[in-house]
Amino acid sequence: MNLAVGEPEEQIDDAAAKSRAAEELARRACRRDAGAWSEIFDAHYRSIYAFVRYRMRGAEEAEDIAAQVFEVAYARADRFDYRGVPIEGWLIGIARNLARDHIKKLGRHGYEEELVESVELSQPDSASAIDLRQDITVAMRSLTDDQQTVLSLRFLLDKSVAETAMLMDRSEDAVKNLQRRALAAMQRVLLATGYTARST
Amino acid sequence: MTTHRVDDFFGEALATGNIPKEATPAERAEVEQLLLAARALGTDRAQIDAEARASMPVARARFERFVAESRANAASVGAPRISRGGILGWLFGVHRALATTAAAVGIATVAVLALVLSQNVFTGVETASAQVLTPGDYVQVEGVVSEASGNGGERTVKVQSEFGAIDVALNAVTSVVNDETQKDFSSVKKGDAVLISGLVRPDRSIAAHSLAVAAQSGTPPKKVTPQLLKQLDSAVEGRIVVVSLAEDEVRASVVIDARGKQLIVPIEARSVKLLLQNGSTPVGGRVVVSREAGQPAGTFSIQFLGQGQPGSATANPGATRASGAPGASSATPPVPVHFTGIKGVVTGRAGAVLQVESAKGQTNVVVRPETRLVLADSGLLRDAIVRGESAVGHEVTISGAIVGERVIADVIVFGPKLTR
Repeated sequence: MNLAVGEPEEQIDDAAAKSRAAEELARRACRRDAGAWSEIFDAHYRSIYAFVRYRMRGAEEAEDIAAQVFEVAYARADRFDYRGVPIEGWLIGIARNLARDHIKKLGRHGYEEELVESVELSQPDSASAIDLRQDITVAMRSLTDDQQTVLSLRFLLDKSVAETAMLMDRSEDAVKNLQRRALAAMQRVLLATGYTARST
Repeated sequence: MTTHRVDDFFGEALATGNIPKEATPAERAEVEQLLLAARALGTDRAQIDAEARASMPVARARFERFVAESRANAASVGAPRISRGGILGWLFGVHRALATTAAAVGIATVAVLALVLSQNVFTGVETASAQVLTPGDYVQVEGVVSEASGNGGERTVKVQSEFGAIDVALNAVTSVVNDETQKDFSSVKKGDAVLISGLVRPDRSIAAHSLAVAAQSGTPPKKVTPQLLKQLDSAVEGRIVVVSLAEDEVRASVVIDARGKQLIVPIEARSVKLLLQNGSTPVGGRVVVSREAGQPAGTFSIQFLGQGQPGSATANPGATRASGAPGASSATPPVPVHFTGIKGVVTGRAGAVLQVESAKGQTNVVVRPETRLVLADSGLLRDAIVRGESAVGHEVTISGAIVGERVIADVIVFGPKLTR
């Protein structure tokens, strides 16, 4: 058999096997199988943490919300429809809602002040590191929820445009459009804070 | 210039590192701006990933507890079964009738708490107690009972502490002591000044392991909102109000009352181990908080100055702390009560009971499933202890409740093996 023909078939087989494994994991998760949830936690905790980190005031708050995501998911496991929906997408959806509720509950104005203060006081390193984290946090917070989500998925979680589109339930063109607007808005804020001048 | 072309050029630049030559100057300029913003995000990724990795063990332990409690709740609703009450209980082979009863009561408690939990799963971390009580941590905290409800299998009490109200679950597993006499957990009532130790549950209530009741009633302390200490120019002295230690023995903190101001102080785990080794009840002790060179930002050291009642290593409810002593906090300690403390050497082990030789003689120390084992620099491995390692010859400092001639251990700090 020639490789040019064989490779796509192998890729299809591989993709099908992964899909079956993911579906089986999701079935077990729906049954609240402890082993399945252990796998899910190990596979996705760091992504969920990264996803919520910029929305929160500090590492402990991000840890708390990230942990809550798995607790909520486990509690609602029997309601999860695994057909065609990746578990990660479901977890990210829960994370978005929890983060939004959390911020709303704290009151946006006071929250943002505390957010900046926590960034200033929680950095272990140099002044430039403080500036960097603060600038990015301020820039991210200036975006809409969808814009934050698309940037987190693309540049913190390394999702492709196609994966991001699936996770956000949008077309790839819509994701590209959202991404461009989000980056442009972010860059405007970074420029205003002088970030680019310091980094170049 | 179309936005589609810019999107395509940006995608290609991300993949190859180069902006395609066919891009016009205007398109090139726009793509360069997009790349700058994307790179800024990427710059901070390593730091976020390091944070995520560091927080994972704690979050995982919290999630495992949540799953275990949910399953216990489901089991109690379906076909009631007697639980062994935890992995240590199972491994140590706790066969006492008390353990069986306690486990059954524990299931009922879990069922009630799980209901509370399911209603609070969306709660945030905005309350003062949420800043202090991290799920999974071992804590010691003092306060005054303001409400008590429930009878039979479990009792929930609301304790007014200096940083707000805390829900505390008591059941047959909880060692309730008053003047070294064991009491029934249902005897805890409104107005009791209490010292509690236990584990923080996901809903930030405390599952009490031990509760010491002071000889006299107390009045609820004035609530003060604690603030996280992030920077320190000079050393500060205060009285410990709360001690917490994470299961991984890495994260630890105390809340101190420094002249009426409450500070949450993240401390090095080494400091909290020394604190526990210095006395049975760090709460109420006077400490100095300082910064040492080379410490991570936001982490501090504490030096133990002593309890108000020197030498109060044994349970001594009713003792008065030296709140007026030089350097002591101006605040009035609300709970003059201590847990039992023993410092000695392990001379033997029979199942879940350690024989400890101390200045007071030979004492049997009961290790419960809930007992927090702090291995510190002992060289011991947790798995080995759980499997039956006797730890004979190791120094130990134990805090717990004295019941009859035994001590029900709440925390055991293992020290190095002594060479003779």
